Amino acid sequence: MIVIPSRENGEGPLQFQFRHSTYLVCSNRVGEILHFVQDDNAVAAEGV
Amino acid sequence: MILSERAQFDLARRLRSRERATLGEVFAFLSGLYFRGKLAYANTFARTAEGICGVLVITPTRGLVDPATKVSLRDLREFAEVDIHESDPRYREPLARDAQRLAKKLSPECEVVLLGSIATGKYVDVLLENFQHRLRFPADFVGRGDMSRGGLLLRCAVDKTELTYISVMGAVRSGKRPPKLTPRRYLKASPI
Repeated sequence: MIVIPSRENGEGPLQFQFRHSTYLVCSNRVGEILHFVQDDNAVAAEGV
Repeated sequence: MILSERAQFDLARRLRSRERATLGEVFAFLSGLYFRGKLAYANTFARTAEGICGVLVITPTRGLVDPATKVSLRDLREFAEVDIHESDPRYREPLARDAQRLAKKLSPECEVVLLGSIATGKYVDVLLENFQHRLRFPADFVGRGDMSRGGLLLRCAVDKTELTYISVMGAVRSGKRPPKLTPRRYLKASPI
């Protein structure tokens, strides 16, 4: 773990791990919301 | 509302126009805490070799996508059609394709951090096949629900404090629920 207590740009401390990392961000909850929103729109379009 | 042709807010208008909107901003709008926290965290700590995107979104139908990619309403409707489930080839095949490509490009010392559920096979099955011991996840995720994870990641991004990761391979993927996070307010002007 690397800790930089203060930085030249005035920002506060930064704590991070020294290695290359790629982050995979999951979106299943977003898919569920989209599915729900789409259903909602279909109902609205049919005038129900 | 975001898919409605009548919606008048800026993001909805852009989605209907040629301008479109980025995947990251659309998903963050749809799930303020859950997705926004993950994206903010990943953007804060991603460090990769040149030419490799440090943050990739696992999408329902397009595999791994850079959150800066522009999307349209048609793309969102396509996402809405498919559930993220390991048994659905519409989800699994593009993800397996992209994970394989990414695994070939990454240097041996580069690790891949999954900011998602490891309790089921929907992400882990495909990703472990390709990344094996390099696939890691935040140890603090064990026992937390989706929203709590989002909240935890958002505050880590704001505090600039990276979590500790453990390998998914052989890990205990579920456990006792940790104590609730203390509520915190963020200013609207916050860059996160």
